[in-house]
Amino acid sequence: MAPLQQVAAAHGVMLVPDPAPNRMLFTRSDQYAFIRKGVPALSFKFSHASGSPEERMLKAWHTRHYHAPSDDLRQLMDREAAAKFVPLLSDLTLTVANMPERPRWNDTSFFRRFAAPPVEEGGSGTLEHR
Amino acid sequence: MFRRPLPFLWVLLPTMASSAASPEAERWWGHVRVLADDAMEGRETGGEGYRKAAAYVAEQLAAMGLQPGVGEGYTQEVKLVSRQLVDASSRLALVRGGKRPPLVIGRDAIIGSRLGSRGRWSPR
Repeated sequence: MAPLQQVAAAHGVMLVPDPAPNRMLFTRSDQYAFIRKGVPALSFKFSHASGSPEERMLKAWHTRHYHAPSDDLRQLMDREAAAKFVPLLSDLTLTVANMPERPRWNDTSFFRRFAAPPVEEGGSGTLEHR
Repeated sequence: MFRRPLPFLWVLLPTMASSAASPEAERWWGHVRVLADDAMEGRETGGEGYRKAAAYVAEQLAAMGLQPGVGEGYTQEVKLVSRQLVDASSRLALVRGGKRPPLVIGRDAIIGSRLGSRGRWSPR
């Protein structure tokens, strides 16, 4: 994931492996439908450092508010932190889009099994419609 | 029900609620407010709220001057499959030590339908 490492470093964001794979968040998220059709797709969870008070707060929030009626706009919200990730995501998108090669799964990835044979390129730098 | 944040949240984040947000943060929050509004009716897939939310996103993309990547518009028609659980003919039980106390669906458990998850599930 060289582009992600590069962009995350530029934005001062540290990448960590999924700290709770048993929660299966990656396969429960909206992007997973693309993956099952062979389209590589990413899903991010942003959090605070492991063991920090903020991380404990997040865990408490997951228990009490996640997908509950109280998970609404009246909650405290760190808008600055949220806005910080917008340019990270757009920079990452641009970096991947401008790479000469199509995104592909790592050879050791479980999700590689869904990879579809590449569609013929319509020409350099064009997006295509499958 | 926990409708109010826990007290310790206020202690940890006293400045967050009161400080003026940057234009970027305000813009982001503005989009969240629109999309999370009750007027979007939960944006249920294929529903009217979902259509309204998609229209809002398309409108914002157009206002930013972003060109559609596929076809002429920002949206594509896709086929959706709807599934509904038939409670009356569904059963669920926890089997342990030869006993299987039945569970009442809707009271003790809910069953979600999910595409691509065929077959029988059993504990490892």
